[in-house]
Amino acid sequence: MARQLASWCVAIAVAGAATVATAHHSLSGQFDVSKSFEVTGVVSRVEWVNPHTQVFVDVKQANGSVVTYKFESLPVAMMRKAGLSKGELAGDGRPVVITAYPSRSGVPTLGYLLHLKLADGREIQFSRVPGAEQP
Amino acid sequence: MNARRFACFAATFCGAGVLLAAAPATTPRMADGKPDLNGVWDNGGGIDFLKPQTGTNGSVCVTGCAPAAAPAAGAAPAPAPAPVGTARPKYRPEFTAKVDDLKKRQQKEDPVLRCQPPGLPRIGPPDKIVQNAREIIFLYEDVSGPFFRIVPLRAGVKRADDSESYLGDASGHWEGDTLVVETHNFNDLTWLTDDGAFHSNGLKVTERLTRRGDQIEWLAKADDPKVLAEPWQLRPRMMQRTDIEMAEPAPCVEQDLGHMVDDSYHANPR
Repeated sequence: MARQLASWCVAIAVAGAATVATAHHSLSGQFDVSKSFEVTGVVSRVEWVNPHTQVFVDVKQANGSVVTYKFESLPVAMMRKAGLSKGELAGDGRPVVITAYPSRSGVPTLGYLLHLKLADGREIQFSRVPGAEQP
Repeated sequence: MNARRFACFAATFCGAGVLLAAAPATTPRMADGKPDLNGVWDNGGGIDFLKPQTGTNGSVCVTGCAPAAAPAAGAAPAPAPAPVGTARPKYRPEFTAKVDDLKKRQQKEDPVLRCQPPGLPRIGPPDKIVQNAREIIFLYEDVSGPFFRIVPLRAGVKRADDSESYLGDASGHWEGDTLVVETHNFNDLTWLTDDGAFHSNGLKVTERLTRRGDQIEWLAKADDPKVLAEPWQLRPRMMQRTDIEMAEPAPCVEQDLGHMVDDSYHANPR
């Protein structure tokens, strides 16, 4: 129980000093929230901006070319509340595995970031992946 | 992961839980005897619902996580909000149709969705307060960007520009241990809250900040007789002192609306 309490305290303790909008347009207006797709690549850039952080990932194609995917994610204040930083998302240059909602606008390289698996084995869940087990 | 940050937060907030359970802490005071409001204040920021979890290997779950464990028996419950205030302003009958129309078109009309200033009282309590005997400065880290307000505690302050503005012209005075901030001279480009809650340039906002120990109770009332049926008393907000310094607010860069395929939206009730 003590450990649970500690976890609970940490969970509530990360509230940052931020005034934020908690919501925006509907995710389902831009992304298909019933599906997800996965890519592996190297994070090439992170835009630490509101209302949504943006993570760019270079994905090597079968023919050797590289395609850059753009993934939208949570507002900066929510990242900060979870103790996450721009550097954390940028990774260390090694490949990461991204799971994302696909865009409804027909752009295949656009997605909403749900889950990030870093090269060192750590995982960051930003939102629940459709059909995934409850973490 | 910034372990030191987590440790500081945990100490701050779990410590706060102990404080809530114990007798109220003494309120620090300035040299002139007024309550000392200086510091960084966590006000929930509208993301109180967010309960991130961290695994033993440093993995992080931000949302959609398994329910967090309940606090141990005997731990202090969260303080119940005072039974005052409402979630939404009440409009004069001739303006309810306009509010409904703006609500339907919120995705296109809500200024905040385009990174415009949230205005007052939508911006909520300040994130940091800098105080001296002559004036008080409110600093904000908002999703729309950084904002500040200068609250003179004396009359006759000349401003560089007296045009109506997003955050208006503020002046402050003390009523006992409560700082009262009265603000007017707003433009009409912001909303009071979401769902089409527009206002006129006749808006006046009164905030009352009362520090008790490591908390400040923030009360706000918006009065706009041109459009509101009655003054809107917002629900109280509680600001909790934190040792975590305010970070530079991130810029707001809207990149989504061009990819929207419908006008759906969800609540943005700050």
